[in-house]
Amino acid sequence: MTRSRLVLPVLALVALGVGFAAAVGAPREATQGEFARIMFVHVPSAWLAFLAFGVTLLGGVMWLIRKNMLWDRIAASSAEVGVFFTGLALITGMIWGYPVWGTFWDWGDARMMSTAVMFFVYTGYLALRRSVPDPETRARRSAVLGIIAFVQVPLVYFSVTIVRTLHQGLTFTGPDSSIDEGFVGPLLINLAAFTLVYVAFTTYRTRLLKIEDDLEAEEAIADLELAGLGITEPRLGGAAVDG
Amino acid sequence: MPHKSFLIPTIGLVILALGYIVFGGLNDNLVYYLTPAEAVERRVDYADGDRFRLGGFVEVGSVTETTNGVVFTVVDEGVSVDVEHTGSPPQLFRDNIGVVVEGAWAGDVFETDTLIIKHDEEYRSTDGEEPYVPPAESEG
Amino acid sequence: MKRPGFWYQAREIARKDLIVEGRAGEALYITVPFGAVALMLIPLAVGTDKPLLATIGPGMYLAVSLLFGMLVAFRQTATDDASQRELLALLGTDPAAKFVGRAATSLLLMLVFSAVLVPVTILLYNPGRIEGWPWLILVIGLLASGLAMVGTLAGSVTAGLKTRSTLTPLLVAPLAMPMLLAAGQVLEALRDGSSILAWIVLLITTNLAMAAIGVATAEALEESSS
Repeated sequence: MTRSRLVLPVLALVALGVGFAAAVGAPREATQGEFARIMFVHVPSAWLAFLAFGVTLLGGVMWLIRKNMLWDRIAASSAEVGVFFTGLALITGMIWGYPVWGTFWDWGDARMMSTAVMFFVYTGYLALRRSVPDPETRARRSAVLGIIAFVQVPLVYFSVTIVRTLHQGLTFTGPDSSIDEGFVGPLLINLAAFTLVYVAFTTYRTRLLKIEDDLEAEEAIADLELAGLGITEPRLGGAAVDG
Repeated sequence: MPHKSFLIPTIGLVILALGYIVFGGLNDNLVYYLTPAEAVERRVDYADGDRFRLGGFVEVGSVTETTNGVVFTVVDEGVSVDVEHTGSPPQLFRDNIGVVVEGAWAGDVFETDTLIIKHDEEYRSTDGEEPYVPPAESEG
Repeated sequence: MKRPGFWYQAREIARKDLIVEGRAGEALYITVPFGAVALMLIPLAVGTDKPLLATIGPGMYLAVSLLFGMLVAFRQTATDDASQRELLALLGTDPAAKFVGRAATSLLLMLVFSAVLVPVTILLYNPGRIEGWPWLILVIGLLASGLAMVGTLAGSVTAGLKTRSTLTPLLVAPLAMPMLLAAGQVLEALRDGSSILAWIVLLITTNLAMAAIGVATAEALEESSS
């Protein structure tokens, strides 16, 4: 591994450390007390999930236009990281909700419901990717699913504005919001740190997918040399497409 | 792109409808909770035992602990409703905090077994234990 | 020779799908009884508490319509294998017409499915009279057409995969959740007499969005097989 590849993860780790220190150093929230500190993980996770799924959409559309496998790999990596961040946002939300709201989960809250829906839609996206063995078919179908799946992402974001929910409104961009300066700094630092983690994860995963694809192609050639042109190798990953 | 003559008006309609839903339509319809004023106004729609949710602020000085729960008053927009809660309230339950309770009318009292604290999008720092004052009018 | 128009192509595809379904009976003779069995399982599982069953009956109907109705949308007989796909491509069939025709057949079958389950629900759960019930016919229709389109889309994304029978429901269920929510809220709103307009608008919007997505992505899903 070359030294330049280490820059991003090291930077992300350092930023996470600074973000943690900033979260600990942030003032105590008046009503929620120490529980409010979980927002320094919760809010960046949710934002990064939105960004990640946006990149998945972009990657899919660009693949359909350019047919360059790099775009497909970016879309796949970004979706994986996005599912991770959505899960993190859901779990930190529940951990915060129990002491502060008095409940882990609330049926009928639009934000919680729609976030869970988003989580499962993209879990389905990843499941589809695993099921298609042929790279081009996989890229095409997941690009289309990426477009369908993204339709509900704006609804998740605006769900707190659309209906009267338990979840608080838009803290930064909402009309009635007010947030003390003491919280803004640490939140922005954590947002930057999480973004770096996202970029590091996604680039690593994209590179790994390229290596996997190359290896698969190489093995296919080696098998051909061994067995002759009349024999095809058995498919190990995923299931075959008929025809 | 083929089928422009279908896609462009359809997408336009979808955006219009979404705009209607986001900026007005659903607000009054998906009522996650009723405010005290709405609950009193629609008292006839909900017979004793019909469950619904009621949201508002805990009136200062109204909280009394009972043997199996708490009794307090929920107030918002100048209208108040007496609430009898069975079970122990969440940790952060106190005067002047936003709550959503689920239950039903029993005469003039609202009986509930589910008490949830609602927070707004305000984050205020504090060094000591200053009391939290909610904004004059709540959202929604 | 003049190329047949869009609606002609869509109608022919729908006709073909209906003929195949008529031969196999997958939707009507397999999925419909299966849905009825599902409605019978719930009272067995939650106990025979009559007031409770009357309360949850309409909701259970919606859940069963969604979970089993989607089986109608991606029934095996509605998928093309590679040779069928190639023939349609060679004939110059418009991919969007294929989507419209297929979704229309699924809608028709799903309406039959929904209609059969209504009396079953009433008999088993005895939900009583719901004020303004004619609205529910519209809601069930909108739910069925939305589900038909989501199911057709998901079916074409998973066409030919070995994991198809389990993967397709995983894709459809979360995408259909907003429609289920809207339908459920209409039931609730009819019960306590509040307005249902916004929910109907939401259902129509979802339908329009799905139609637009289906038509827009049909071309991209065409596969040039080797």
